[in-house]
Amino acid sequence: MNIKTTLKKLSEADGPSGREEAVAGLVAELLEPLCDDVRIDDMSNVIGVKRGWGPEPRPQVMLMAHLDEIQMMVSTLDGPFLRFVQLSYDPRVLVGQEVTVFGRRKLHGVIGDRPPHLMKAADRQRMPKTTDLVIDLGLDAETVAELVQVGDVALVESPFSELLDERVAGKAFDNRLSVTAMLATLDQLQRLQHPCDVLAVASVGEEFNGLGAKTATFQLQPDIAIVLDVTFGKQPGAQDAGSFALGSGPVIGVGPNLDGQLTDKLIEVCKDLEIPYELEPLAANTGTDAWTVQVMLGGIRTALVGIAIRNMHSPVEVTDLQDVSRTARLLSAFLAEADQSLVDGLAHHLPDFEEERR
Amino acid sequence: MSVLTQDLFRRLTETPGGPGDEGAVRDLIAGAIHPHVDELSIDRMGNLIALKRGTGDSDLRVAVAAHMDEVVLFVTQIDKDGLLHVARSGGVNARTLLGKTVQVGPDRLPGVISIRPPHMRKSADEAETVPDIDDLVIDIGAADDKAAKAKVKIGQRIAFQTPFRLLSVEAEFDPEAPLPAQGRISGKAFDDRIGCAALIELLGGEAYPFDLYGVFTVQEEIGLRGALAAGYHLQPDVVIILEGTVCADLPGPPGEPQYPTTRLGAGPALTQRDRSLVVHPPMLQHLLRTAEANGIPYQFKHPNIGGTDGAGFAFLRGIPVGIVSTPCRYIHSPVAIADLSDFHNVVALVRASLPGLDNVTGVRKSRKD
Repeated sequence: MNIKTTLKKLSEADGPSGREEAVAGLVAELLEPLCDDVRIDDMSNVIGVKRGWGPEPRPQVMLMAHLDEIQMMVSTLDGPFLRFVQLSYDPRVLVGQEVTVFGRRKLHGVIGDRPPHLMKAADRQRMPKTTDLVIDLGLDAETVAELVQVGDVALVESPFSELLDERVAGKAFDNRLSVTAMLATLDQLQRLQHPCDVLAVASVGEEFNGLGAKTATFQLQPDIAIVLDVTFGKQPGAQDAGSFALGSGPVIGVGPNLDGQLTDKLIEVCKDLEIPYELEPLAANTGTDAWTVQVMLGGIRTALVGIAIRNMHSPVEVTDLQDVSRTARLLSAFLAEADQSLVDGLAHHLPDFEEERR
Repeated sequence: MSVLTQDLFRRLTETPGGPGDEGAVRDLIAGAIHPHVDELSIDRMGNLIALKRGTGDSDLRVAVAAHMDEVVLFVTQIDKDGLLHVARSGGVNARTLLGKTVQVGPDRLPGVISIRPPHMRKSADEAETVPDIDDLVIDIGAADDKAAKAKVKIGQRIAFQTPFRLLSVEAEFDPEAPLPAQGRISGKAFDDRIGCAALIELLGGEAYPFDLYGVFTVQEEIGLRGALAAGYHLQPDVVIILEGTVCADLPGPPGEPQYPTTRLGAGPALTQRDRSLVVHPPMLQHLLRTAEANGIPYQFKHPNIGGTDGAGFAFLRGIPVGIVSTPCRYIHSPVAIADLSDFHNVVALVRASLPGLDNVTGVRKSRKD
């Protein structure tokens, strides 16, 4: 599997939260040759099952990477212009940005700005708020009213670019990058034996409310879950704690949202295989599907593996593809060892009262 | 006979146990209650579940729950000088942190929260500015990052280091004796080890008419996480939550109206509604009628403050929940104060309320019998 071309396809696909059908179809196609069974459920979660060797019941290990991307939504038709709402972008990236509006058909638009010549001096020093911005479709008001209605979704339009070495840039790396890592993991598993059934889930709705994580977990009832999501790359202005140099390997989350012993297992695999890795301290909510999955069905042992990107939630997320292949090596090696005894070994134990008494 | 000795209570409060790191508290509780219960288990989240079998007179499934975790700091970074940088795991009150002593990690390594000498203040405002958690450092005395990294790992929890005390002029600490009937106590993590202590008491003694599940939950402080999981797999018919709750019966700025939430020494605090849940009205009625019938004082907690595991348990199946709390001044800070009469009255009220649960409207509604 070519990681770069796969990420390019996925990055350029459309998949706002709640309208993931297009990207779901693409992911299902990519999973098809790597799995025994692939389906798209009613929520548009894509679920690929790759069965392990040995007799049933086999441990069920779920990999989960979210499919959806952040979006804007049309709030008002203002003559030929569209006003919109959004929560996920820094509004500063939207000024001068090309967008796609999903009206009756796919429309190309621009979020423009008044020329500096016409601005008061004070306005030149101030960034507009989202509510000050409009999408310009280059159409007259009548046509716009025919093609667009309130609630239609808009996405930033941003081509995939190859930068130096293994670095690339594009939109929706959050979280198509992790979907790519999940596909690369399954690709590596073609050449390995694994005792567990691998349930690969591309989940919907993470950027909204974790709807896909809930519904997929409820269907699949896994013994273990490993959630894959992006994390912060080091860049000027980023806090030192909690941001990671691109190319420094998979970033393994630590904290209460994550099972300590399962996390230690992943760290052990990195050490054994000499895969570079980083630890991300997460004191409470990880802000990922792991938060949703962990408390489902009476509790599911959950780990989180991240890949660092710069400029998160912008049209130009940047990453180093070496971290994708390293993440796939880590996960495939873990899955090759994930047997029933590993699952059983994660249980918490009561103290040995008899021993204490003697 | 009381299961709860002064020494057990001391260890309950002094043992560190942040969200997701409740193992030491759980081991302590399990060791104390195992002679008094029929089954002990730990679920996948780490909740400790004690089953005390009933007399068989009722087939109701009753849970009483208290959370084991406390608010803590969390190691995010070890800098080149060997100082620890932190985040909050749970709602630690940032105003109470500077210059406090702490214990770091499972080995309970001593440390202090640094504060720059007042001489070096950059501006007069600094003394009135709440410190930003990102600017705090914990000093464990390490000479450099190498020395610190040999002792501390990213992700370890940092709890306050606060000794348990009886704030009494008469009684001296006596490890084997039960807690005195009167007087006040101070220490850390009363939210919610005081609830754990009450639950330990309730698990001692005679059997109830029904099977009682004593649930010591994890991760309440970061979003009722243990209760969400336990409510799903235990499927109780009814739950009583034991909490250490907000109490601010303090003098405030002159002329400003006070809103103390609860008052120390005024009896168990009954919740009508908080930010997470509206308490099942028949449960509330049952609790306050039981208090009145038994001459136990009670107070209502002011509404819309805080949230509890009750919402976690009720989340999926909407079961009736009651919430009974011991008022604790200064929770989410290094040291809290509670009144022992409130604590004993919480135990007495819940003990007296349990047998009548079968008759509370709605308690059997979700069952197919």
